[in-house]
Amino acid sequence: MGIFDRNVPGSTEILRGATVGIAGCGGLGSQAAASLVRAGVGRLILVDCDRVEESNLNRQHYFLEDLGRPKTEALAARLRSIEPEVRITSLGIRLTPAEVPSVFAEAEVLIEAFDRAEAKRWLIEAWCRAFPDRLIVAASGVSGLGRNESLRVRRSGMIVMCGDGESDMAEGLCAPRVAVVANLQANAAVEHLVRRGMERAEWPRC
Amino acid sequence: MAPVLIVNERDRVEWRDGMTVQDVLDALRYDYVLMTVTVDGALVPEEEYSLRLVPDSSKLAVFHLAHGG
Repeated sequence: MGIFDRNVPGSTEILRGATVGIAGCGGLGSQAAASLVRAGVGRLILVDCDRVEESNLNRQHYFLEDLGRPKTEALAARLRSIEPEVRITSLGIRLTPAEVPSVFAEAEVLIEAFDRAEAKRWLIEAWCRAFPDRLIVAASGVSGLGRNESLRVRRSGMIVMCGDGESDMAEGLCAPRVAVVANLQANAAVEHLVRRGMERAEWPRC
Repeated sequence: MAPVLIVNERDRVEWRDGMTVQDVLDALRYDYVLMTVTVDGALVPEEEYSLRLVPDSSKLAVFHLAHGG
């Protein structure tokens, strides 16, 4: 039995050839990355400048032995322990808007997974300027407890926004709520990649 | 009957000639500190809110951006 034997039929081959960028490897990015690898996405570009701290363990996909390691390195190791064949580019940098086109040049979809709202905005703007035809899956409003019914996915053009759109980090962050939103993001990315891959297969370029 | 702009698939604003993105935000009293706005699916950078004219019958999306990740 292989890891992807129970995947949705037709999705594995498409996702194996896909590249997804992850901007920020905290609660959203690390959880989304794990789900994307389990789904079969073949390549990830991970970007984050932080190291793993104890306070991250309440919601992020890291473990005690990861403390002190750069998040991109620790996450890459965790992801390879799920699927050794996954191809990962790890960049331990503080991303700037000017770097978005080059860092994510090969990403078909970007997961916006930053903490700060200011950074979310410039990342969305930089991505849409550089790649107006590529999807960005962002998140806003992941904080607090419960309130499943407030979480939703909205789309306009090539922007998908997941979360409640209101709750602020000052409320505190709780693992299940952050993970739900991270997985809404991963789910939207997978759906987009598979649908587009199937469309390409039906309408091959001459 | 005057054309109507639909915002966030819910709110309606009566369109008028020369209306900008900022006029729409003001009409709906959207005063989020940080947001991302699209008009008919295309992103409008913040520095263009007061300049970008909104075509009649456009669909706008206003995403409030909250801290946390």
